[in-house]
Amino acid sequence: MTENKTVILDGAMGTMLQGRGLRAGEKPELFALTNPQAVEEIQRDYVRSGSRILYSNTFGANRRKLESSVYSVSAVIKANIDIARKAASAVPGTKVALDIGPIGELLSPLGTLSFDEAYDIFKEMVTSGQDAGADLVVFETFTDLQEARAALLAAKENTNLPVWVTMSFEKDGCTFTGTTVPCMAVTLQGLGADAIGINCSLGPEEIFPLIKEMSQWTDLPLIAKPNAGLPDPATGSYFITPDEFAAAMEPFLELGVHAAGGCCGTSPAFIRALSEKAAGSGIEKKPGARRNGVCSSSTMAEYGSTHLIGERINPTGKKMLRQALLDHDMDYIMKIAIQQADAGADILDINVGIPNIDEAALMKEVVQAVQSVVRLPLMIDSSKAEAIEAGLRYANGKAIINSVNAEDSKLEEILPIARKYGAAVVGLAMDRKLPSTVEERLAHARKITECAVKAGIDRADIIIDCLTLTVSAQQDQAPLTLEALRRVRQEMGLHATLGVSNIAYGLPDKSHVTEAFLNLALYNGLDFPIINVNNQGVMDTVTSFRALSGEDKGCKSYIERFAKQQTVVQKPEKHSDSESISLDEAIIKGLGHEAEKATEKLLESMDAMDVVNDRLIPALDKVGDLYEKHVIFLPQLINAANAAGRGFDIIKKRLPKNCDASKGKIIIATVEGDIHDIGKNIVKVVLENYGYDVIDLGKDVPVQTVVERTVKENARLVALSALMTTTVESMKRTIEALRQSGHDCKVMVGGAVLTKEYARQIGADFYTKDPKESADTARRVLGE
Amino acid sequence: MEALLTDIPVKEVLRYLGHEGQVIESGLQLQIEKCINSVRNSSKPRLTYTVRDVQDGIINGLDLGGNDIKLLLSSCSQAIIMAATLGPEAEQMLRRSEVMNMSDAVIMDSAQSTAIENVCDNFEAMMRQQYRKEGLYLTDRYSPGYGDLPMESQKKILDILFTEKRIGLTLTPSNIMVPRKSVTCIIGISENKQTLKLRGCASCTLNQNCPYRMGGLCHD
Repeated sequence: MTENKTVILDGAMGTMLQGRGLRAGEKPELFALTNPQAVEEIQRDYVRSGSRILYSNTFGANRRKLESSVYSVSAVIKANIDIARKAASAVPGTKVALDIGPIGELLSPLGTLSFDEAYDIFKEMVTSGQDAGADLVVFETFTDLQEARAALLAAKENTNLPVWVTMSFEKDGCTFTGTTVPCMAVTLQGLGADAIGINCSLGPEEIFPLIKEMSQWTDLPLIAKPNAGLPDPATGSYFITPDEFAAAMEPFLELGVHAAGGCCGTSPAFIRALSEKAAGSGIEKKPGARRNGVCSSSTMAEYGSTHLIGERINPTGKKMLRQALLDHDMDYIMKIAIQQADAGADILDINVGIPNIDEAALMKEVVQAVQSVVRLPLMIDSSKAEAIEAGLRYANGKAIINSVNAEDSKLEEILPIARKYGAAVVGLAMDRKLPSTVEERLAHARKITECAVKAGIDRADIIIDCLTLTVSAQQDQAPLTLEALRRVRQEMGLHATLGVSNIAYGLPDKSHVTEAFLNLALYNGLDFPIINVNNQGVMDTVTSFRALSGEDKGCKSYIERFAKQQTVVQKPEKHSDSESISLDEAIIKGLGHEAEKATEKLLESMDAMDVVNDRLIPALDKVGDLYEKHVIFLPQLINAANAAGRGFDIIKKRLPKNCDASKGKIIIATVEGDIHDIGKNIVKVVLENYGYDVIDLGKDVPVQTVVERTVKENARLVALSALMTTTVESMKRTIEALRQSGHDCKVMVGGAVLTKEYARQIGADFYTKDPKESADTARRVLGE
Repeated sequence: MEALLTDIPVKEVLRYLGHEGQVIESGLQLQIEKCINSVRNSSKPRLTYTVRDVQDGIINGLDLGGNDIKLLLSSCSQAIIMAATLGPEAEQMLRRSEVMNMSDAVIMDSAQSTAIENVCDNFEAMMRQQYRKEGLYLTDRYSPGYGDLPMESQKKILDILFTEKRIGLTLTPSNIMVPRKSVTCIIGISENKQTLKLRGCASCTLNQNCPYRMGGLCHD
């Protein structure tokens, strides 16, 4: 790959095969077995036209797509690689790339395919390709960065072949799943791709600005394989001529792309024209400083400005979060993530450290849950190497590791993981003991930097934490932290982070000292502050700083924030008008704030459990009754349930610790294979607000998981949901498995295609047609 | 052809929500408007289609199964096969609201169903207009799940349209389209004026217990 000319790739295969008898719906990959001559002729044609790397005809040769075929994945791949090899032999030095496209199903959380399954599918393909003698692996036409990550990891961990990855973008610079060009470039370079680029979807003219953008974000060789322009929407056919195509490819050659070819609609004639055009051009890629940062698949936090790291997903000192982690209550954690994103976090810290748990497994679960609802880059925060690795493996994009320190054992353990996944890394300026001087901090920072660079980590990806020590206990340290921070930024040119909130520990009204310290730290160059973004004062400070530093161009954010706050201030007056509203009325009207107020008022004169039984539940019953009589409709029912829930939360806080207000446990799940969970979630909200302890297993829940959790929680009632006729079958299997387990429980089912009769046939105890009926059923089974 | 989302009528959203004239207080009114706005802003509709010849009611290279589709296409010489989706951004937004506020989620879900129908309506209207100029008539839209057109035909439609590559629309092993707010349909093209009405509840497999029937018909 050190030639100084653009390497010419091949053009389309599918359309060429159709010209040689491939019928619609027939798998092109199998043509190698039924009609090897045709495939070889096409590829020979490409070699004659100037292709020096042939992509094997294996785009969809994965186990999912070959499921109905009699041939194994390895047999199909071997046959196709052999043919490409034969065709390549016409011109010595012509290489054969194992070509792999996306699996064809979306990964969870959108689809049902897990990251690990995807990895496994790719692993089978790349090992088959290596065994068959491929010279390199090319993943192309990917639209989901997470799938590309699974593919790249599978190739890197199981073969020693060079790996290229090209993705398909729309005109707006995003793939269908929202991956942007900078996020793709930074993530895949970090993860060890040997070359990256763009193929398919658009023609050369539309792709050029995108590949140009990509060149700013990576120093890897670039690949471009555009379509023959844009197709006619009704027929799918392309119009531009080979010469027009080659002319449109000229800017790519000038940019210095490493490899170029064609995708849909191109043919050997296109490749010949391109090859002739490329013959005269030489690659002159000017090395320049590349843009860099940390990212999710769609959001880039580019180095050079201040990025706020939300600190709230960390169980230290947070009882509710700790319990949620123990219960695998991902909704609670997702809520915290969304709140922080809405409050203005740019990056989310994720720490799930609780003694005696499988931290790696929990990290994987939380990372996946969080990135299913927010699109921010993540900071994987743990003291355990396995948990860090688990977090990085599943975090889509390029994450930050929090943290290493200057201890040799720590550096040796963590830096290779950072290198493998291409993560940025926080280095704590300490070793076994805390530093007490500026010089000590800087010495640690230097050591960490030296080791990291030696381990192959880009200097730009190092973030030093000069350590915030509590001012009430170690008052002399605050100025030293700030001075070290300033020097880390100015003299060493590294990024800096601080856990800002630590400063105020043990002091009353923490906000003042926290905000003052944050101000000083920002002034000294702190670019990755770890803060409580939900705290208004902290965010006011950051907003003001960004206006003063010039980061907030035209003070736009400042104006937006403070103009908004002025209007918010007026809100409480509105509430005070309705303060006298009764709990009953507040619930029926679905007014959460008023329900809280009314509950508090009642608690002044009533016992907590009495408020539940004599006020809350009867109000909910009335709501259910109104819903049944069609006096109110669904959103009103849910608003009412939510209002009751807010009242219930107030009561829970007042109850003595040993008093359990729960009316019993209910396991709820959308069955295996089904991903429609809105109905299930409605029922969940209603049941919770009736005071039941609802354990939500989510959607697409394996039969065995339902059984295991039901038995483990000793739940007496299981609620199952399925929306499709195709998935009612797995509802039936779930019920059968529950019965076979011997665990004594009732099963209620719901979902659009179910009927009372159908529910009986599949062995359910109850059919519930709406949330009201599910609450009635819960009462019948679990009692009041 | 660009997928166009032009309108998310409140009336339709309410119908999906099972509204039967209940009083909507101002708070709920605001909530509904806010949800419709979020749906409008997070939807990135895309569509793809192809036109195929039809012989004896069967689309060339696309035998979908079932008799109703043959009946629909009996007088047609060609058919439009179309798939449309609101995209994954809409789905993630729905997921967020399911975590934060379930009643927002329920309203947004209905607004998204309304939105994808609007995208299909706009497509159909444009096609109707285009073919009308050539003196041709279109049948109603027909989708897997209507009448006896099996859900399994979904895969064949997505394959023939290369929806994964063109609009990012895929199918799970249990035949659920992902992103979920997506629609596929067949529209026949004929020289004769079409009178056959195959849409509506009578020909729907869900007709016994469709939740939307509580608030009237899902297709009027």
